[in-house]
Amino acid sequence: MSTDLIYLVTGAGVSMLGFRGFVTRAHLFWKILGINLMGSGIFLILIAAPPRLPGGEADPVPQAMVLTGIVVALSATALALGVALRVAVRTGRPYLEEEAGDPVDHPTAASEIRREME
Amino acid sequence: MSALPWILDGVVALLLIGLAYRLLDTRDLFEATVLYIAFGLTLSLAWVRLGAADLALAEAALGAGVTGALFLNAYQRLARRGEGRTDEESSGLTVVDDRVDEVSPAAALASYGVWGLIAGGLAWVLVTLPARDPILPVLVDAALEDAGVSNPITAVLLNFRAYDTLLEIVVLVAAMVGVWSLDRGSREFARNPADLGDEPILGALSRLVVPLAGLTAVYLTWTGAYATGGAFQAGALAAGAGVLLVAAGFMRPVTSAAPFTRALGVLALVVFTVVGLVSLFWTGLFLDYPPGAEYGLILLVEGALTVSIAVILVELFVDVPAIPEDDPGLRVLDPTGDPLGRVISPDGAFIRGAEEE
Amino acid sequence: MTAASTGAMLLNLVTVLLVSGGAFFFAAGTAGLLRFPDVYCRLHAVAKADNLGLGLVVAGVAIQAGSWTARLQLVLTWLLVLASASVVCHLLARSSLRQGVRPVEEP
Repeated sequence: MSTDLIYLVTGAGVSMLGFRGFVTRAHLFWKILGINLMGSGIFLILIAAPPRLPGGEADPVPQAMVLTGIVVALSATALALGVALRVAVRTGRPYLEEEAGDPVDHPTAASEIRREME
Repeated sequence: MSALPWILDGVVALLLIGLAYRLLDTRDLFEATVLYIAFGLTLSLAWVRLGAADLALAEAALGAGVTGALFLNAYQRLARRGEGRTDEESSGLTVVDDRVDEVSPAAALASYGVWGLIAGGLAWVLVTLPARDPILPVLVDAALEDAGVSNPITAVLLNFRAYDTLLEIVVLVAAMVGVWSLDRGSREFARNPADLGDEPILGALSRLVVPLAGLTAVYLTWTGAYATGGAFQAGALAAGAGVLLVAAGFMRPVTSAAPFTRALGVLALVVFTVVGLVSLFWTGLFLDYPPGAEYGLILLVEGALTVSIAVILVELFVDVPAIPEDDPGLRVLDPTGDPLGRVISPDGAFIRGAEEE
Repeated sequence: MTAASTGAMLLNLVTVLLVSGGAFFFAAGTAGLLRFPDVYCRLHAVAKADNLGLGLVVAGVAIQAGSWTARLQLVLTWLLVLASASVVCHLLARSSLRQGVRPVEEP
């Protein structure tokens, strides 16, 4: 088992753990963390899958892709955190209404609209 | 063949899996954030092992550093601990996910079993991929002579696939605009302005580190043409220095609303587009640099990218919406009482404070 | 065995000793982080032991480095980590103190 294979398997594991976290956790911050881990796992796969150059360096094309990906993931994370904080401020809870299964009725944008329609 | 590399890779891989598992399993946001930073640092070790030094640099600065700062910043705004509470009362950590369903160990095991099967299947498919001869590196190598730069990654980013990088900076600008427009009402930085400048030792460290970081950022931009480095790593480093300046109180936190931060934020986009149009005029193809001028143009774009990335990253940090003081706040799990004057019912549900409309 | 190869072997031995020493201090610092009773003791353990451990590792690796620039970079890295580690420890301790975290009393 070579270095590349070890990290291929790790990438598969990390991305699926991230996906699981994204699906199973209701708290928005953990969803963002899960998406980030998914991305990191996919990046690992992208770098570990193609054959290495003779000098032992990774293929430059996926490296450039992943470099771009890291920056884009970061800006998406910042925006997502901003939205999550906004949701938290508006509703008092860092969850989306549908997933929280709230025992108490919290005014959210969706519930406000629904109430107005009724 | 020594077994040492295997042990090293194995430890790094197990750390990555273990950290990812734990940070997604814990109910404590602070713990998850710290573990996420540790995950980023471990991942940059993995990049070194995979022969991707550029990624290691970017991951350590961006994935672990800036993302970690963003999460901690957001965490701080979520938590907003009450004054004068002792460690025992708040157990030091107040933001807790209380919506995790309690499941039996068997159900948890079954759940992880299913996900493990999916991950195993993915890993099996990846590992059994047929080995192929490298194609892309050969193409890159063949074209590198006319690229103007000798670092293949920079050549891919700013010459062969310059389109991608142009659109990437568009994404960054869009994120900056998005975060800024989220919360136009409250522009307060999370830290109390009175605290700014009240950290003499942090100030001393900034005086030592920030000039060095600036120098290193210039060096990384320059060296990206022929060795490890480039605008992204350099911009991340400069952004780290900027965040430090804001935290130490040397720089007033200026949001994206300020005209000059907007100008600096879109600088790279403007420069990149103008370079693309000039080359369109010259060679007939958008972003197909005129022969002979590649190096100069790439360096110009890289310099602008470094500045814009640094400014945008600092803005993403500063712009994250603050929770207004009069907001009832979030449900903070605290069995001993509610410092924010909110009511928590016995079954753990949050009932809005009396001051709410 | 030639003089050159003996010298190289000695250098390797010194490197192994220094890096092992560094690893020992890192392990000690981590043990302190896990076992000590409060945040101040833990900071104390981690900051001191890890700085020394990193210094030893840097010294060991510097012996093997190919050029003086590389050695200089290694030493610079160590100095920067020294500075930032002590500042971070100070900030953590101060912020804990301000939030009212009491140091443990002697039993």
